[in-house]
Amino acid sequence: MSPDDDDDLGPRPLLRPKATPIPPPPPEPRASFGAPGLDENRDLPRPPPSRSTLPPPSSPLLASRRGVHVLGTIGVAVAFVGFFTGIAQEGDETRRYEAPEAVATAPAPGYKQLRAERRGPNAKLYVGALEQLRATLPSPRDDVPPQSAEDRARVLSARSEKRAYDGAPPTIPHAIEGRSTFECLVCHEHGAVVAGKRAAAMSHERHDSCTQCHVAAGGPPREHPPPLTSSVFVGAAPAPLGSRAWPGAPPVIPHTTWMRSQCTSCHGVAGALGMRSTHPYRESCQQCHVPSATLDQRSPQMSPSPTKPQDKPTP
Amino acid sequence: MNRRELLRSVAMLAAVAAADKLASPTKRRLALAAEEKPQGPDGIRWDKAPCRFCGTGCHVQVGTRNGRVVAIAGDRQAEVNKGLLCVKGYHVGLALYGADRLTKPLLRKNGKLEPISWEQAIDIVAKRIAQNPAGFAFYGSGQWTIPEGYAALKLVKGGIGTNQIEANARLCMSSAVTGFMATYGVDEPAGCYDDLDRCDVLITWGNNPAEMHPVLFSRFIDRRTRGEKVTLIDLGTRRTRTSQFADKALTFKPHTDLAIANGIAHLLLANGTFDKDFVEKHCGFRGEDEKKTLYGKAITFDEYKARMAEYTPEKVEQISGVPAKEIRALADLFGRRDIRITSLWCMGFNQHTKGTAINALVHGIHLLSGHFGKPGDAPTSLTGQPSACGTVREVGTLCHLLPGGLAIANPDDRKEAEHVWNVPPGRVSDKIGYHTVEMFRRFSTPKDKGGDIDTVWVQTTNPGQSLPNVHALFEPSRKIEGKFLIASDVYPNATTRAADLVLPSALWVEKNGMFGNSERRTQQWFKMVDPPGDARADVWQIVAVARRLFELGFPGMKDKDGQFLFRFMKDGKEVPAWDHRRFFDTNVDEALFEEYRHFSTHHKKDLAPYSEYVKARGLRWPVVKQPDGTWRETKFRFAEADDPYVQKGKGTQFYQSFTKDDRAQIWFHSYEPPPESPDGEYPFWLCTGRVIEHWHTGTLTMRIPQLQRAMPEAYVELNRADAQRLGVRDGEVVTLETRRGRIDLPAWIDGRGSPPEGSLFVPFFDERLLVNELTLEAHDPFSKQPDYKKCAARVRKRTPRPAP
Repeated sequence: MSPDDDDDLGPRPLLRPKATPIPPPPPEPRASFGAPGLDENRDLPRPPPSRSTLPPPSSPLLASRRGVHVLGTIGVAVAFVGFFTGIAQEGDETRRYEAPEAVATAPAPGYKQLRAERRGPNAKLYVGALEQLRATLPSPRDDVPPQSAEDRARVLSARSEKRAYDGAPPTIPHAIEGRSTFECLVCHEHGAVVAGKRAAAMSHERHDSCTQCHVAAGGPPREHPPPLTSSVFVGAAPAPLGSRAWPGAPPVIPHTTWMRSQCTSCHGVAGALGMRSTHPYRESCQQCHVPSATLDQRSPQMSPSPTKPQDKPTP
Repeated sequence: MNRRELLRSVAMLAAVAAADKLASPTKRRLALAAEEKPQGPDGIRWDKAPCRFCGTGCHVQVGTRNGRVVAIAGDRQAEVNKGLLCVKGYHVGLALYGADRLTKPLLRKNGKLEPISWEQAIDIVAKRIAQNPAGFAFYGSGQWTIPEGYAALKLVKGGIGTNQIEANARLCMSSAVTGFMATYGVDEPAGCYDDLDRCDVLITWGNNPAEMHPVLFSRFIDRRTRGEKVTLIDLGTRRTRTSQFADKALTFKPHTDLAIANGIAHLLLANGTFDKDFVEKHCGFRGEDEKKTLYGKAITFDEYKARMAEYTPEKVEQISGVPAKEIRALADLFGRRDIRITSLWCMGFNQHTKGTAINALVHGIHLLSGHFGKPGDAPTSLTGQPSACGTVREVGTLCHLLPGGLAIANPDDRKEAEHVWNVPPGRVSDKIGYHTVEMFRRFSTPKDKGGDIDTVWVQTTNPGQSLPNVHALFEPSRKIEGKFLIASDVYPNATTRAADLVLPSALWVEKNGMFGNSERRTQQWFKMVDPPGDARADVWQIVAVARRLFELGFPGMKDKDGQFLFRFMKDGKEVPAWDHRRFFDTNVDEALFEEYRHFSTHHKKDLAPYSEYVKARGLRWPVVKQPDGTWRETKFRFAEADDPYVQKGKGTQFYQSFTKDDRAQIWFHSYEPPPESPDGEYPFWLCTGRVIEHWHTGTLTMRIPQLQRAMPEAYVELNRADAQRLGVRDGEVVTLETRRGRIDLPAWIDGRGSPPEGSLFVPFFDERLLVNELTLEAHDPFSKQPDYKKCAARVRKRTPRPAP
């Protein structure tokens, strides 16, 4: 997947940049309410060291090949049983989340306790995590790599997958809790790169009810029946390249700037290659690039009604 | 352009040329309108239309190219939404393009729906009506455009001679109407959405605007984002997305909102913090009478105070579960003169067996405290459909109403309608028709047992899914001999699948239209694209049926002079609009609207000429002509500063008061327990409602991939404690049962909303999981609106369904 694709932000573990990859924890069961041992990273029971039950190779039993086979078979069998018992216990541990009787009786650890006990490779991962995420963004002074037409095609195609038509609010490519605005702002207020995926900064001024326009593309996190029908809608394609008065002139803005006023959201340092500005250090975009009055709904034909309230009403 | 499109355009051109060598003025205007519309560099033309979904009434800019809608944008000129939309609005254009659009009239033959011609279909409808006019019922909705609703009403009340027309708005806001009528003597809010920009405190009563009216919600909550100090108080029976934003979220026991409102009134009186001056000048007091009429009887202030006396904060706490100190805090807010308070409510109040009462009580506390009539001080009732106000309430597509707020019960009003329609005296029947629940009950009852409704024509709604207790009210009709169901719709749904005759309709910008939103704003749009296949506008269907009846010699289709009831004139000549080839020769919408406009001045709901709405992003009535010839809308009714009908010097004047003394009525209603409460057998409260992604029965939104995927199926919201007790996991399919039916659906714990312990919530959009097989049909005695919001239910782990 291209780094420009901001898919799958949610379920992935937050990895420290350049850290050695850590194997992902076993999939979390969805029903995590009130479950004991929420900390998936704590050491889970390992299979018993069954191999140690094998006698040392110097045993007199070695004299008999048959004995070796028997012993070997028993040993392998014990190892297997032991291993799978271990796994089964592990499985049990997971499945226990689903058994509310057990939930009701098990004392839930407090946050304090969880924090104190947190250990393992992801311990204290959250400390400074957000600052580090932001630190992964390139600096406006960094050189912008060359961008090809293929880059542009790729990024436009990735954009289209999340939009019904060009200009539609993108759907959210990851699961959301939907508990508060801050949940979204953490990554999308300034933009971030999370686990190699780009979380774009908002392209518009701040509105607080994010889910008014953006919905999770995958729906609530559970299995769903297939749709009853399909759609034959064909949405408007992304805008073509902005036209230039002469070769080398700054291109005009080919799309509306309404709800797309924060140019850096797509064209800034974190912008996908194919769309990134060659000069992200320049901040006043509309100094050189002009928006379209028609696309921005500022053309005279779209002026408001001549029927305006007057100061003094008359019946 | 493919071959089919080319052939179609050639055929259309030929037909137009043959029909009329000169392009008609309307056509020219339509063409002109399209030409004037700016075209972007990408060849997309943009034009305005109100959104097809809820009652907020946002304007969208619709982008079309090559005869198809390809994009949507928020309309920046629109005062309602100021360029923003919600996720449904941004995807409204996709509603036209589900793969299974109905494109041909279908008749049930040997149990199967088979294609027939439009001529045959119209003939069948007309003959069903002619055969038994009294047994014919028209059932529409707040999704009818204003001209469609007006034509349907005129067909029934001015032509067929009965009053048997109803609309699904009966199920969604008729208690709001009775609340307004009983308080102000006239329907619809006095304030408008501008109140949301001006209030200091917003109280949402059993209302979740963050999901149901998202644009209005962000219009308010974005003020906080911009640094203004505003307070949101959420009163509800479950925690919702609105509660997340609330400064205070109070959960009350279902149905006890009456006690809370009374508790506030009691404290205003007890503390002396009510607005004595306002009450003295502008208010009267009212209580229920023995006969339980809508207007009740006058009571004195002392009687009112005495009756309120028992609603002490402690007693209210006991009834509602809301702490007494919170009731005191609410009363203190209402007691302050230095802040402005807006109340918002919608289905939580209206789908309530005491719906009229709770509507009136909240108007009452606003009047009592003087939080009324100033920008930001308003009791505001919202609607769920794009034209529930414009069509159902203003045109009056209900069994007891005539256009413009006139009433069947009033002989003068009937005479006025006969005058406007130029029909003989006595044509408009004085017999009020059956309300929705009663109408469908009679449709689902054999004739010999009193089931005197035998034909129902449904347009723009889906009663097979949205009626309460569909097992009792809808399904039996499909098995009784002689009952005939006609459904005009755009997609197959629960109603069309059960219908005997299906008529394919045009949708939204596939036709001209007008809507009226929750703030009295009348909106207009032009047809932008063609409907698919043989689908045709609902208004054409009505006119064509009327014409067929006329041809069959049905006496009611003639006016006093023997002329056809629906005459559309152009240059002094009649345009045969019933002939679909000639339908677009004139603007039928404009003609119907100009006729309807005659009714609008009776109750000072003045409408401007059609051409004014073409220019505007909607205008709020009364729209009054100024000396300089311009038309002026009214934002704040009954307030001298803005309403031209208020006499100079009066300040506030309730000029439509039914007591004829310019006073609004402050009501007393007692709290009474609901008709069905949880018990040992059915221990849960069950509430139904909506989610942001879907609209009503999901016929449109379930066909929009982005919305369908975001919320693919219904669910039951369960409190975590209940789930643990029942041993139910998140996502597990459970069985939900009431005394009326059962469905199996997934449980969602701590999901979108969180009901308190002992409460359940199910959205009603999913046709595979019909929650209305479970709901109660008990209804409000005044408005006849059923209570979908509470009944007793039980939920358990799924056991295999017994073999049928």
